[in-house]
Formats: sequence, structure tokens, C-alpha cells
Amino acid sequence: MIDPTKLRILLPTYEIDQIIGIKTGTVSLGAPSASPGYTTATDVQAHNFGDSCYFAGIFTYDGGTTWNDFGCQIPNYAAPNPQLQTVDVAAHTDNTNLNVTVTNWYDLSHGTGTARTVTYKVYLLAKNKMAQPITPLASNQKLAYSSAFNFQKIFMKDTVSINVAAGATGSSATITHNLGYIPAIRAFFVDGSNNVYSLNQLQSGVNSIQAHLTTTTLVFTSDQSAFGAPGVSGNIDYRIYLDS
Amino acid sequence: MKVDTNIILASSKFNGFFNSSAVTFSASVASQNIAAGGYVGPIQASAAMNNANGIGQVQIQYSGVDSFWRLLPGIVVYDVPNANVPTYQIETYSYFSNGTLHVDSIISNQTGGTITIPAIIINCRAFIFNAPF
Repeated sequence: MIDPTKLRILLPTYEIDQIIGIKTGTVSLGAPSASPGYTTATDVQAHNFGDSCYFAGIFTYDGGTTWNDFGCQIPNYAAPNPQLQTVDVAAHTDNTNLNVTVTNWYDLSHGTGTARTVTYKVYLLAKNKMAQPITPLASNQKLAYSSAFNFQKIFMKDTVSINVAAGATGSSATITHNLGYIPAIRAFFVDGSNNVYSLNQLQSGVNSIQAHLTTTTLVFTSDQSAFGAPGVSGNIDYRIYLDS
Repeated sequence: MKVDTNIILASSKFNGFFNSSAVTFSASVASQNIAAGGYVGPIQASAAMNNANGIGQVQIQYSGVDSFWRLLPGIVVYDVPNANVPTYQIETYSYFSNGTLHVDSIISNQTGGTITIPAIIINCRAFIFNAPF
């Protein structure tokens, strides 16, 4: 016999992000010269999920003293002119692999090229909808959910399409969240081949997509007016969190 | 063992991101003229923030231009239009250095003549989410 008055089961009202693996790696790049202006390499690591996944990554090139999120670059403001492109790390996932691309830019403003050793760490996250059950990657880290921490709570999640032709501007459909405050969000671009890209790393490329948030809505826009083919066409998977 | 992540809300098998710290800060640029081919900046906003083993997220607002909050990290590039014609471009980028989060912006003239930009406040909201590295 079971006494239901003595059962205490806590069920979460909202989903949380699900970390299904952690990847780390190191990429060494030689010093770039003025032409072509950069050295680059892509580090490929298999996850073998049979489906792409979301991700979040950080990197360092000073031995771990300074870490930055993928897509961030530390500028060089020394005289005579600022240099904004320095070391850029971006990634995407496909059905089998995590692909981390590191670009070491020549400092055109100061006439220097520096060899770099870049170390990165990446979380792999389950998508809003995975194509199939997956085997999470084994890890030595304590990947355990605990109610002691204030985890980000997923309020809304879905997919919205975006199609903007070359030479034009456009946006996705407007998503109404009506939270009454500016929430935290995550968004990922999924192309026609099911490859997943972090939204902001696309800012400097052809597929420039921005998220516009208000206290009630979210919309994704793209300005392709300065770019030629192919424009941007794909889906954006988004998550709007209760947390602001 | 395979698990179906589509039917699990949360479990002791999966971790997510939990809030570690948050900060708001801003930087201002006064209304001024920018000559053809010229720019203003870097306009620098910063706040002390420790991102060791954390995933960062930054949101920015160009108050004086529009009310949208835009998403970083990375780079935000906005060509501010006037009757669908670009006038000036705001480029904003974020990065951590020496325990400080920096959000820097450059405003450049996109026309062939002198333009006047409005007074702009670049509002920033930043979060660090702890990660089990």
C-alpha cells in the first residue's frame, strides 16, 4: 500500500537546457602575413548523435587567463589605428561532428602577425526537438541537475523561418512572449542541411541575422542589402527564458 | 544508453545553465557631426565581471535610435536608415579582458556628406551562466 500523503515528488514546471556533451580542444596557428591576411584551421570532433545540436563555447589564447565567448574578438587599440579583427572562433554542428573554426587575423593597422595557440571548451545542448534518442557523451564533470541552483527556465521554444534575398532586408515572423520584461534568449540558425550555427557568429558573414527583443516580442531580422548571393534562408530555433 | 531528450523536462542526468551573475551599464555619445568617411569611437562601456568557466550573454540597446534590445556576444552591425537609405552605421562588439566585460561601439558615416547623429546611449545588460567545465 502507498500513502500518497507521504510522497514528496518535485516536478519542474519548466524545462531547462540539456547539456548532452562537453568537448575541449587546442588549435595552433602560424603567424599570418599581410596576404592573405589570416591563418585558419577547423578542428573537427565527432559527437555521433545522428543529429545536429546546439552549442555554447568559450576560448582562450593566453593560456587560460582570459576567456571569451565564441564570436568575441579582443581589439588592439594601440596607436595609430584600432584593429578590430584579431582572433575569431566560430563553430557549427552537423549530424556527426562539432566543427570549430579558428581564424588568426593579420593586424593590418600595426603591421604585425602573431602565432597563436587557441584552447576552446564547448557545451553541446539538445535541440528543441532531436530527431531521435541520443547517447549523451560521457564526462568527468558533474552533469547533474540540482534544485539548489537557479537554472535558466525555458518559457517558450520553437522554430521560425527566415528568408531574405540578396540585396534586400527582411525579418522572420514576430514572436509574442508578453513577459512584460526583456528576457534572456538563445537562438541558433539551422540551414537547409541541418547544420546549426550560433546566431551571433554570423554577424560578420553573409548570413547576418540579428535578434530584436522588446518586453513583449522577439523578431529576427537580416540586412542583406550590401551582400550578393545567396542571401539567407533557413530556420531559427529559439528559446525564450523566464529569467531576465 | 540512449535517452529521448524530447520527453525529459529535467533530470539528474542532464545539467543546464544556471545564473551566476548579472550587471547593467551604459555609455553615451553626444549628438555631433561626422564628416564623410569619418567615424566616432570606440565608444566604450565596461563593467567588472568574472567569466571564468562561464558562458556570457550581452544584450544592448541603442537608446536614441530605437527601443530594441539586440543580442551579443559577437558583433552587432546596424545601418541606421533614413527613408530606407543608410545614413550611419553602428557596430558594437563585446569581449572580456582582465576581469572586465567591454562593450565597444563605433559609429561611422555611410553617406558622401557630413551627417549629424543624435545623442545615443548604449545600454548594456550582461549575464554569466555557470557552466560545468
